Amino acid sequence: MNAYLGIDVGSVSTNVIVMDHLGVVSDALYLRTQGRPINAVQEGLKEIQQRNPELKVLGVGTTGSGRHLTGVIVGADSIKNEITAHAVAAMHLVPEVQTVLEIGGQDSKIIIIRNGVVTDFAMNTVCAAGTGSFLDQQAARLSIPIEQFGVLALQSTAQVRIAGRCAVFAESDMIHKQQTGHPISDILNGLCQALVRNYLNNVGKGKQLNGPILFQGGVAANEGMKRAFEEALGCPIIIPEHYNVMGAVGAALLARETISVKDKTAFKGFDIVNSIYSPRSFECTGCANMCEVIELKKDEAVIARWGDRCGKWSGVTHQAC
Amino acid sequence: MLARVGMPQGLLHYNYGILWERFFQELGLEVIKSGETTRATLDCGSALDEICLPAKVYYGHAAKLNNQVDYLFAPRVISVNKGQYTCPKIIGMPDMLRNNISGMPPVIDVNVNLRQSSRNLYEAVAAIGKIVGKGKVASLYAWYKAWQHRNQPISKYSGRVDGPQVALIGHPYLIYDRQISMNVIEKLRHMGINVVTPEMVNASEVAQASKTLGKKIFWSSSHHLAGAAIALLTAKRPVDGVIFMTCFACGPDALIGELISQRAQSINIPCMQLSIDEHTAEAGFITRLEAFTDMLTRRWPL
Repeated sequence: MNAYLGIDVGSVSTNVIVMDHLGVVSDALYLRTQGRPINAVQEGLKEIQQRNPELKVLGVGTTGSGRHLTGVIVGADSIKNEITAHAVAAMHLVPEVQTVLEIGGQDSKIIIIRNGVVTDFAMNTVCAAGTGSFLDQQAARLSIPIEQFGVLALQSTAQVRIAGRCAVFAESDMIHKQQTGHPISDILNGLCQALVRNYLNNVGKGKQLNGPILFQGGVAANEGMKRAFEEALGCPIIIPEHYNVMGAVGAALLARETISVKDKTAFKGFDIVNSIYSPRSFECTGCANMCEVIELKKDEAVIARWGDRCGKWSGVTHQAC
Repeated sequence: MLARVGMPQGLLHYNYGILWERFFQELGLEVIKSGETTRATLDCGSALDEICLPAKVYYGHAAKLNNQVDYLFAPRVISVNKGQYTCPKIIGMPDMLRNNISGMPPVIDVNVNLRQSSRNLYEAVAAIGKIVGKGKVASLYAWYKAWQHRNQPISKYSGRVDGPQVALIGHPYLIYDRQISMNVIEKLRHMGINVVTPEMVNASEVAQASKTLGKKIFWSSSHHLAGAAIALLTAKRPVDGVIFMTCFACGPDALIGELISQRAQSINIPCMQLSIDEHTAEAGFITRLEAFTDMLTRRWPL
């Protein structure tokens, strides 16, 4: 089977998808990155190959915060930021989409689309307060599996207001409410509402949120969040089929776009899962800039270096890899 | 041997450095500049707490010159335009240096205050000359000679060219400092963007545009940024996007950033605010730049 691969290496999850040339996703994989992006990519590709032994790769696209590192390892045809990838994927699955809400592990974004063109976007600033990591952390504190979070929040019957401005404030507010006897389900629902309020006031500040509205990213699995968004916006929210791997879907679509003007893929083959990749970083002492240079070795051979400003280190790479 | 005067390459140096350097050379002094900002400058500057990044950078530059010069040139520039001020941190800079760097050479911290009258400039020039042992006439003549070499606008904004055009709005000491701006101008050009900066808009266009702001902006640099942004947004052929670059905790920027983004929104031109601080990891920064330029290039040409 001829197909395109899309790889999204995020802070929390690494996703790999297989898409045919018509744009239909035939296989999707959601793995935890666990701080080791290279391992996660190798594991993902291994599993994809096992599940699809007949696969012939026409092109590969990477996205997510680990896109450059991954791009070097797999030989990507397109390396694109996650906002473009998410927008492309959303427009592919729901062509008339006007707003995309995306909440991932470390960041949250909003993308405004009009007539098939991205017209505006915003991302959270440095703080990751309203994102998946915080929900994860709170679920762990209450010993609730994260998968159960949304189900429990939906059982809520009464309003509990939680402070949403900051994760630290939210946590202390939650603890106080729990100690005064509010049931867990009401508190979880209150937290969902607080996150939504915070998201709409910060990331969505001043934007026109018209329907159809898509909600994607790992947090879209949480039904409590979906309901809180629907209540706050007063309109239905669509959760696309591949909501948790949309970045990877976009990466595959962008790879297909690149391949259409390029004849051959740069994909290095599934053999890369058997190599040992060892990155290291060092501080260059050549001048006062003290650049942090990253060096990537594949089985003892240096295949790439980057991170320097002058090109002293990055210039000597791209040998036969 | 010529007396050496040290010039920290930060803050207003980006506006007036060429003029100042020439002035001291005309007076017969050797000018030692601190060089471009490096990580070492940042490391040294973070000795200061609770202050904006450009101020820390300036401090790092000054500290570097400490033992190399006979005079340190750090004028207290209070006002450069009638009825306007520079930023309070710029005004307080000489004191900040003196209180934190020990064993400093004599600091030339003459007041420059043109808020009421531009005549003060000549008094300041004479006072600087006096510190380095030059007479009034020699100093004024040196200033006159140097004035011919002052910063001229780099190039005038000439409307649409090939590819999307983006107004990069930010203080000169931010956007032209390749270290702290993470080389934003080069990065944007590399992505196929034509970058327009506030320095490409002349003062009369700025004055014209800022009349539409509805309020007077007291800080001269911010006044220029806001006026230039509005001039570029409302030009016959407006820019395709605005990137407002600001450093964390800048008071004046918080105000004009909002003015600019509201204006951009009202005429449907995308505007992105980029905040920078001591970060050296570029990932988040590049993601935002790429997403912004993708947004423009994917719909170019319409």
